[in-house]
Amino acid sequence: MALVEVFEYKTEVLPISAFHQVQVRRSNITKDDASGEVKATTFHRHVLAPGDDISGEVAEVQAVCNAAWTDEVVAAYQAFTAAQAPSP
Amino acid sequence: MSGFNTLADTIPIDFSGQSGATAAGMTAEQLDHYETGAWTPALTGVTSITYSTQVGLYTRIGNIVEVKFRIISTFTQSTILTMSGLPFASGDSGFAIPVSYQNCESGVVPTFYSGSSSASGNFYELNAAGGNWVPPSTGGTPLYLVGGGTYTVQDV
Repeated sequence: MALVEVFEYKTEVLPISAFHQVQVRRSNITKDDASGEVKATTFHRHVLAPGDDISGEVAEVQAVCNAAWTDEVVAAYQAFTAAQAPSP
Repeated sequence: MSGFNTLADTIPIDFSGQSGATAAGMTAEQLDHYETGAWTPALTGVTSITYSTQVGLYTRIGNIVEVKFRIISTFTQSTILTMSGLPFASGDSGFAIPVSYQNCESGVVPTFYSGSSSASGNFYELNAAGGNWVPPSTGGTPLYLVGGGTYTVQDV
């Protein structure tokens, strides 16, 4: 028996009011490679905003971003961030 | 996993039968999300940064997420210090998180502030001068940044 770690990804595309930002949850799953029994699962999260560099993301996350982030969405998000108040 | 009740993610816990008066302004009585995990805080606006610790934890209950972070780093120069990597995008209002620090300027109380629909934000000074926090070079001694707070997230 050996323990192996596998990763699974869940993506959440926020509504257009949130500029289709993509929330990514990576599940780090430790399992027995022989029986497949899951021994432990932990989560790690990050958020991708339209226009972000996604070259380091896995293919399935890149596909979601590329589908959600049209040129109009990216332009709208960039205009929004530029207009954000710079101080609290 | 045995020993746990599993709720389908489409079925929230409904509290509409609870006792007591309903508060004015109430908008929901269903709990549809619980999750805990990790995130990776990253500083930007700095030059030649080296991390020795870069840890973030979160717990989300409904549309509220509590985050904690701890960063130990050295850097040679900073402009406006920002932090990215939050686990969820913020909701329609911004939020602020108090931050503790060690080995930096005296008389500065930094606060992390994020605007709406964002997973990053800037550090500000809470002192008479106010404004963006631009810490000096850490030299050879690491800067410790520790903070935590809650914010409202976007509904998916």
